Amino acid sequence: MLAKIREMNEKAYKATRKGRLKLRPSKIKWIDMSTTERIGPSAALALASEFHRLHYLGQTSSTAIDIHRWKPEVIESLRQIGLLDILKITSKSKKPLVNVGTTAILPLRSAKSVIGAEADELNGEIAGIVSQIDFSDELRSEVYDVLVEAMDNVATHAYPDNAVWAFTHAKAWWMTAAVNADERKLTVVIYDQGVSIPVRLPTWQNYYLADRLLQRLVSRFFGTRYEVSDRTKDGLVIRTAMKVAVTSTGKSYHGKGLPRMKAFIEKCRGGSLRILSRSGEYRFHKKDKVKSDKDLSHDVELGGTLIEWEVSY
Amino acid sequence: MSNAIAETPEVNGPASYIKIAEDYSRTPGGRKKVTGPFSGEEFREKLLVPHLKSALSGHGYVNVVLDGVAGYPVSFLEEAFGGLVRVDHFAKADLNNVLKITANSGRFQTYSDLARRFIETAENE
Repeated sequence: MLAKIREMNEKAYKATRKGRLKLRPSKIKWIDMSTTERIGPSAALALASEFHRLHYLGQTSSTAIDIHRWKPEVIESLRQIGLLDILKITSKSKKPLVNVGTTAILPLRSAKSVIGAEADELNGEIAGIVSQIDFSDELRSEVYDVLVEAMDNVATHAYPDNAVWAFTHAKAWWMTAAVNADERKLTVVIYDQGVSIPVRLPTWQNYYLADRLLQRLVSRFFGTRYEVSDRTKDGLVIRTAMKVAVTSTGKSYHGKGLPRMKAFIEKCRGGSLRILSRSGEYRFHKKDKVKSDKDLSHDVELGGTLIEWEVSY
Repeated sequence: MSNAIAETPEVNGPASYIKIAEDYSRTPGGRKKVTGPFSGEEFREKLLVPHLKSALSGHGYVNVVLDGVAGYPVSFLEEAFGGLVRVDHFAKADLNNVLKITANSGRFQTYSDLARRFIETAENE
């Protein structure tokens, strides 16, 4: 799945998934990025979170190997997001190791609870890069709202006590932002390693609406019944969850956060929302007044939920 | 039930102000206390409910001023304001009489509308 996250290749993703399984006491702990050409903010965040999780678990840092063979662009992106610090790879210079264009990735932030101040401080860092005029108070509020809402979703839903885990989780979220000054684009990302939207959806109060719609769609297009364990429909599940959350009213207050994630993009001149969860992906795109959305399901599982907003400013 | 946004009602008597940015936090959190600091639940329990009870027992009203914060996640707003009906079982008519939600700048008007809508659409749990 991370291979589908912009600018990260399949091999890097597999290394990440392998890494999660290896990040246990008494196991070999290493990271080799020598075959990765480039890495964007979302993929860098997901990768860094794998190693940052060890800090929460009180375990020792992992080791990077063959760094001399890593692409300078990859090293610089990982340095910016803070992975080199996590791996205790020190650089004498604070200057960029290589020109990676005008994209600046902010250091990852992480916590186990809903901390509005973290989103506010990230906004402050963005404002340090983007001019006051471009990063308006309205845009700052939007970023704050969706990030804190996403933190709340993580804290409330992502790590249920009764879940069975293939690894030791930290019950945390990780977030970052990136600014591309040339293209005047702001990217904001939040990631968790929880059970995912497809797994949690049946606990929604309005799940019967989603289930009814899913069964109808799956029966019509695939000739089968939908089962939660069926990862090949995860993209459709996320899209359906979004649709039901947007259109359903009534006493249920579950799922009100999802429409808010999309509304952020709808208010902007142009931008996109990407939600990757388990094996599914949902994309919503807006350019000028034209809106479109689609869903995908991937062969490889992400292991959690990643939400990415990219907006033009 | 109507989905129309209720207008901020005309309220009378002495005002009891809750300026969220000054009296609570400039960085509101999520829905429940258990998930982190400055939640909507904590705001409702610590500030909103005591002020409203006081207003209902007298002849004044509560004016909640939304301006000056970093933003409001929907879960915070729903828990703080929708929770008055869902959890604390305030009558919507009473809230119309004693609760004013103020946004002095346009940026916060959306939040004010949303808070009102959450009260209107909430049902007792």
